[in-house]
Amino acid sequence: MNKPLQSTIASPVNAASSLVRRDSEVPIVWTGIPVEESIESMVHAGRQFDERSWHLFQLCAIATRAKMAPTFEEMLAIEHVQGFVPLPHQVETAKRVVRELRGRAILADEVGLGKTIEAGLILKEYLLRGLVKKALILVPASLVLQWTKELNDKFRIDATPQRDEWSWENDIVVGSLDTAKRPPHREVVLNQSWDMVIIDEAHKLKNQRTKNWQMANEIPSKYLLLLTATPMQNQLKELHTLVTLLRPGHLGSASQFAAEHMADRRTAKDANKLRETVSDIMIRNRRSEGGARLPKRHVQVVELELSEPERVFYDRVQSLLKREYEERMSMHVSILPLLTLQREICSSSYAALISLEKMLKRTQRADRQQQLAELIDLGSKIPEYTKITRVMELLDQFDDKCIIFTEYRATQDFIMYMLKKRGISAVPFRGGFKRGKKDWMKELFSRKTRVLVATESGGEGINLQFCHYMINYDLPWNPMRLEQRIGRIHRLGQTNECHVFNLATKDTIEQHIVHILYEKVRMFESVIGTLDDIVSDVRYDAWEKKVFEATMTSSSHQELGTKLKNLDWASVTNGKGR
Amino acid sequence: MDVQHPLRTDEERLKFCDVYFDAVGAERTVERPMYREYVLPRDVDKELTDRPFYWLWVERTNQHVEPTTLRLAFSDEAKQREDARLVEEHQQMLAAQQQPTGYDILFRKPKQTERIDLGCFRLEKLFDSVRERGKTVSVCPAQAPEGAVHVPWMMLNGLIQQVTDSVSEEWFSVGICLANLQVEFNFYDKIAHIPMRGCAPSRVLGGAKHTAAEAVQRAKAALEKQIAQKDHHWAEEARERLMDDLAQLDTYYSSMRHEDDPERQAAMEREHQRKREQLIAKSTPRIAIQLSQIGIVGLPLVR
Repeated sequence: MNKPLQSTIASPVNAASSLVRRDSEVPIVWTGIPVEESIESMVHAGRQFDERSWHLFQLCAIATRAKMAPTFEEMLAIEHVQGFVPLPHQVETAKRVVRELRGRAILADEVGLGKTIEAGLILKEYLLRGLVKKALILVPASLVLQWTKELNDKFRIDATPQRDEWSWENDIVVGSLDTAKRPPHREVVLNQSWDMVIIDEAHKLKNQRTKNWQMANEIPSKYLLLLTATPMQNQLKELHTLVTLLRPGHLGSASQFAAEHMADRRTAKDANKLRETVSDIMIRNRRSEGGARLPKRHVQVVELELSEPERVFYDRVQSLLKREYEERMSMHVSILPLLTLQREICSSSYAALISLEKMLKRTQRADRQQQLAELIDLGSKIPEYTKITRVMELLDQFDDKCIIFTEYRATQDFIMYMLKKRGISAVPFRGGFKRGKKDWMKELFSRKTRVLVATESGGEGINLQFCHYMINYDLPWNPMRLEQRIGRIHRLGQTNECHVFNLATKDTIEQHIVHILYEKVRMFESVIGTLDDIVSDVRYDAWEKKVFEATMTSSSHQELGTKLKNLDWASVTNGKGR
Repeated sequence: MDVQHPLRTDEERLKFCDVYFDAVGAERTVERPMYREYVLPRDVDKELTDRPFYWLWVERTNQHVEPTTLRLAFSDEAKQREDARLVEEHQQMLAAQQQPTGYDILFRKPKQTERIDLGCFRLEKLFDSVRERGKTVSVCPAQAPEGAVHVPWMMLNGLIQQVTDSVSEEWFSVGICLANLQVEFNFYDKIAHIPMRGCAPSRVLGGAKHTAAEAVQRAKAALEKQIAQKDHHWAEEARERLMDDLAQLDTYYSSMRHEDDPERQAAMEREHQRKREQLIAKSTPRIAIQLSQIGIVGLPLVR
């Protein structure tokens, strides 16, 4: 038998792989074991075979069949997950992404419906099919460990959290986009050929000029998933920007998109058409569709009226702002600090005081120094703050854990101080905390303390299903951020009904903001689908009608502001809680 | 067992493990309903437990280490039952100690069982192990008398993969008679029921009239002919999709030209090229034939 074996060298199958083009023009690639070399080695190496070798051979045949993907569509991942059963809408989403969207998609489920599960299923599916070996998962820094753990525990995916420059070289890495885009990480990340990239909280990629977007655009990826509950926050073109990452040209160039789809910055020419075009690349599941059976959420506007000293302080700050605004506009100087002060005075007098003090330190003019000093004096003499008093009253109404959200660090400090004074245990949570500290604070909140006081940036992505109460101390100016806040507690895994209190101060700029928020919600709804109750559940009809009337009969923003201000807020909000 | 979709039940997985551990010489120390304990020989231990540095240390320092015992539960009920037993045994062990140390009380935990299901770490390791150990074989029927004349067959097993942005796989087994180059499809399934014993390859191949290379060519031609007769609609669709996607990409980048800024234009062209390559790599339809097993099988001459 030696002679025949010697002639095997020229055989094409002897090479590790060879390529053959058929008449059907589907190229055939041969891979795997080199046959003749293997037979030669079997003959000459004197390996002993016995009954057990046959058994192992049989087991190998069984294992290969057990692992194979018999069709293009069947979801293998479903039978490989552990400890949970994916919900029907999650399985359907994963199937659609593999079958129809070809592995490049925006997963835009409403907050709390399990986008992570969907992404995990899709990644697992491609891993099982052998189409993905290297995967990069970019998430906010605070979620790196949570994602890694979930991929390992639920999907049995051997994911590694990124710790240093070398971590990126692992096959499946979870890191943050903020780290990845900085040297020396950037080069390491870009130099690897990733089969799949998943980017969580992808609404951070809404601006094509940012480093985030450019980095995401440069990372090589065959399959790409962008996860966000809010693919569009302020303008329609944000949607174009995201889609361009996935499939450049799907919505045309930016100018083509504007010409074809945009009536104005926030309104689609033909919402149905745009929704249909976008559905080729984006999947959005909504709670109202019954995909997930979440307990009810009760959103309630808590109406507040400023006390006399607070009102005086607020009005004086408004006057200062107006004067400053006019001056700055005439001198073409940035009005950003004024905007911040405007938002802070809506949040808390305490936060405004800190900014006023900073302004006082910076100003050179004697008259302005005097004005500011008087204002600070006025503000610091306020004997009691309405908002915090109301928060304490609310906390007295229920005996349960509660998360309080604010936009401002100063307000956070103030709330922490007041809670401590009242003997209520609380921990802070914010974006600036390192990963470990965030985990620690979350742990403390779940085990020991009653209240978590979180700032906007810190709240992103944390899951706090064990908590059922939320107080929004101030409202963000973006409705999607409010939705994300609520999604921290009202998400899959929540077993109790959730109560959300939105504090709103009467006769302040907040009412203008509510209107703008509302407009954004409408734009979002028209293209993407309905949002859950967010701004409040004030028996929308009445509120919607009055806002609509005011919008229709106003010819300028000032007039609209006046009309909104004059709305009979109390009559609208009567019987607001569900 | 569903031949096309094996190992979907707990019972099948239990049988798979029993056969595997017997074949690799692991000692079965406990056998209860849907539960087994196996003591692993060192070579198997290395394959099934993911700890290369541990083995490096053991071997470099000539350590004597206790062999690993795997405690495998094949149903939830078995896991619950055996975990409870292990807790009880642990408590008895602590109670029996005259003076348990602080370490014993604080850190020593009862041993735990592993639930074996599809996708679990251990089963994946077992799959890896059989993929290596079951790659080649040379056998003839156990019943065949010593000195009997065998007709030599070469068996090639593997997967035919239709690959585009997703993949569809079909298992194949083709046998080629080395005496007359006869081709038999589904060869493995036709002989899988026959009890086999090991047979020296040179002995089986003694009656071969054709070379392995000829047999391989024959198998290849037969498989490719079979593949050519299949429906390739999927590939046509995939190719059309790819053409559409490339056209869309090209249109987009041609509308993004920066003629006034050569540097920016060059960067844009590089980006365009890179995205084209990614798309082509992902979506081009192709067929991959992956050979995973080779067998030399001597079948008695039927007169």
